[in-house]
This record gives sequence, structure tokens and C-alpha cells, in this order.
Amino acid sequence: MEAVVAVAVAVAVVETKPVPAREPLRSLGVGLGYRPVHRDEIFAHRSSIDFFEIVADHYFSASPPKLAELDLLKSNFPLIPHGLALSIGSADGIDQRYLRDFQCVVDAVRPAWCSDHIAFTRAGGIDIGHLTPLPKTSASLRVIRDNLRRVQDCITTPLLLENITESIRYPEDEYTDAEFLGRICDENDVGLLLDVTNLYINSVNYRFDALEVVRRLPKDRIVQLHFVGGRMEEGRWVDSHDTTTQDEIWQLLEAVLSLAPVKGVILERDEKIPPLKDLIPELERARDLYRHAIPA
Amino acid sequence: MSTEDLERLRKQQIALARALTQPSTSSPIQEPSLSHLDLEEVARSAETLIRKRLSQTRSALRGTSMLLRDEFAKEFREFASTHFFSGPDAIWRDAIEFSRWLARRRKEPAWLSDLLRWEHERCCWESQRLYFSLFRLRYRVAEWIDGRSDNSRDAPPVLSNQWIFIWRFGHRGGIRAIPRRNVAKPTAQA
Repeated sequence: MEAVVAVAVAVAVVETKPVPAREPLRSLGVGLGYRPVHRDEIFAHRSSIDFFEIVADHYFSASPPKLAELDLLKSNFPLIPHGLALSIGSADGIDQRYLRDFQCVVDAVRPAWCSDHIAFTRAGGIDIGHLTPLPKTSASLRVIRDNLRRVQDCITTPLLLENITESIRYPEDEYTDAEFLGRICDENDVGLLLDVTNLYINSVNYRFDALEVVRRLPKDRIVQLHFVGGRMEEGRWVDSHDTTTQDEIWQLLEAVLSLAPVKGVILERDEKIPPLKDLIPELERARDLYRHAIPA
Repeated sequence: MSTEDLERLRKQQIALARALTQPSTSSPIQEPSLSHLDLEEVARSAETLIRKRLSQTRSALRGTSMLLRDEFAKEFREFASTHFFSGPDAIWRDAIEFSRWLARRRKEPAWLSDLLRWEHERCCWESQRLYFSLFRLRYRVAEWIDGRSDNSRDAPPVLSNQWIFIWRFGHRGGIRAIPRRNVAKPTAQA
């Protein structure tokens, strides 16, 4: 009997052992999605860029010059690796090879956090090569939870997940956008990389209030923001990532910054990339908003 | 939420992946797991994917793209409706296979075949450079030596069409390729 009590006490002690609290993330400021065409200009504009977000996939099979580039960036800027194809919503599970490659980049950079998307890019052995939206159902939440466990077993660096532009909506959705994003973050202890442009585009294309979504999100989970301009094509907004940020998106960015304790903001220009000096005014405007909302 | 829900989601994802990447052969109308979706949205997503591939292939085959202008896009759309490539080298596979496909199809102007041959070679080289890069060597050598890793995706595309290879160190220290059928499967004890 005593032995049984002793075992029960031991189990109780193990179960009540406090989980070590994660250190708060540091603020990185306002930065830029790194694109190699800007390599020669970045030091001339060093003071305008607080940090860079690098596309992790670009360094998976890197040549020696590319690795040297990574070393140069790492020595001079805080870096955040951003993955494109972790396929966290894939019902087939996580591609172990991709995860290992991603982990290698994270280990090499030792960032404050790393990120990928709430989407699937792979199914049935097909690499779609494109972020494909998930239905907002409990089945998707379960798949994300299982996949995230495998990711978090390998990568201990805090992970953020980004909302994508939704090209397809599923009639079987069980949750609203805010509920779905909130549940993913809270149930899996991950942060949210809120792409303000994607949220704005979805809100216009599918007619909902973007600000209301932000109000309903768990604010302390919103760690980083993305912003860039989109464009109208055939009556719909698309995330072309190829133009200067529109006023409506600036307004939403400002509102999000006033509501959430954001740690970093990234201008994410992917197409028709102008010289770096042409992006500086957007970075400075974002920095003004960031400093106003989140004083140092 | 049951295992059937998960299985349904898995099937839906596979069907959607097919509908997006092979729109000419896999119609969402015929697929029960997609029939409730807005087909216009699915078609638009498939079109976005083709546009993305077109833009990448234009960059890879810059000379041919400049020569053919709008014809390049027209030809690529026809090619893309029946060809799709997966994997980390998908961009190069698109360019390599499209240049081969186009060379067979178009004989005019006369210098197009020379241009395509040159660009094809350059893309093959870029693709193979991707596979033999030092980054891969640095992190995967141990696994390759042990033969634990299925590295069929590491094989250059020109070879992976016909063979599945395992790369190992040869007796002189260089890396050599061994057809998978000649490699004993690693046992649990190994």
C-alpha cells in the first residue's frame, strides 16, 4: 500500500513539474525581405534596415558564394529564416528532408524566431509549388497539430505561422478566420506572422471586416507582420507583391500595430523589385508607425 | 473529429493537388471531394500556378523568350497543360523539358534550334549544380555513406528519369553513383 502511495506521489510530482517559461522575444524593428538583387546596396542603406528575413529554401542547396552571402548577412544583421514549403497543413505529414534542411538553416543562423505558412504545398507525392489554403475544420487543426509536434521536436527556435491569401474557400469551414488562426497559435504554442496584405486581400475578396478579425485574434500571439502592395486583376485582389503599399493596407498595418505587441515588421517585395533606395521610404514610414505604436 | 475526417482531408488535398497541377487531365467536376468547391476558384488557382511556372521558365530561357515574345507564353501554356514536375528542381525541369519539347515542335526560325540547344545545356548544368552543391555534401555525407537515406531526389534529373541512384564514396575517395537495385537494403542491425 505504501509503495502504491509513494508511486502516486511520485507521479503527482512529475505531473505538477512546472514547464519552463519561454523567454520573451526581443523586438527587431522594421526590416526587409532579403532579395539577392539588393546585395550590393544593403550596406549603403544599413541604418534603414533593422533586420532581414531570408527565404530559408534559397540556402538549402547553396553554393559556396551563397553560403558566404549568408555569413555576410548573419554577421551584420539579425536574420529570420522564412520557409516556403514546410507544408504544415499536409495530411501526408511533414517531409523529413525539407524539415532537416530547414533545421540546418535555422541552426546556422540562430535566429530569434523562424516562420512558415498555414497552408499545404504537397499532397500525394505532388509538390504543388504554391501555397494552397486549408479548410478551417477540426481535421485541419488536428493535421497541423500533429505536424507541428514533429517540427517542434527538431526545431526548438520559436516558430511563427503566416496567414496566406486564400484563392479557394471551402464550404465545409467550421471556424472563422480569427478562430482558426487563434486556435492554431494557442493549441500549439506558436506565434502568428500576420501578413497584413493577405488579410486585407482576403477581406476584400470574401467581403469581411479585416479589423474585426484582428480584434478577435489573441494579440500576444501576433509577433511579426508582413506588408507590401497588391493589385486588382479581373475584379479580384491578388497578392502580386510587386507594387508599393496601398493606403488601405497602411491603415490596416497601423491598426494592427496599435492593437498588438508586434516584435518585427517586414516589407516583403517579391516581384518587379526596384532598387533598394526606392523601398527606403516605405521602410521609414513603417518605422514611424512602429515606433509610435511600440515605443522602445 | 474521426479518422474518416482525416482520410477525407487527405483525399481532398490529393485531388486538389492534381486539379491544380494537371488541369487538362484532372477535372474537379469529376472528383467527388472537390465537386462542392467553387470551380472558378480552382481554375483560377490552376491558372496562377501556370503563370508562376511561365514566369520562372521565361527567366531560365531568356533568349528563347525574347525571340518568341507572346508565342513563348502560348507554347508554354500548351506544354504546361500536360507536363508537371515536382521537387526542388521543378523550375529547371520545366525549362529543360520545355526546351526539348519546343525544339521538336518548332523548326522556324532556323536559329531557334541552336538557341534552344544552348539554353537547354545551360539549364541542365544549373540543375546538376544544384544537386552537387557543397551544402548538400556537407550535411548528407554521413547518411550517404551509411546508405540510410533515400536520395533518389538528389540524382540529376537526366538520370532520375531512368534510374534511382545512391551516391557513395568510391575507393579513390570520389563520389560515385550506384543503381539502387545493386545496393543491399540496410538492415535493422546496420
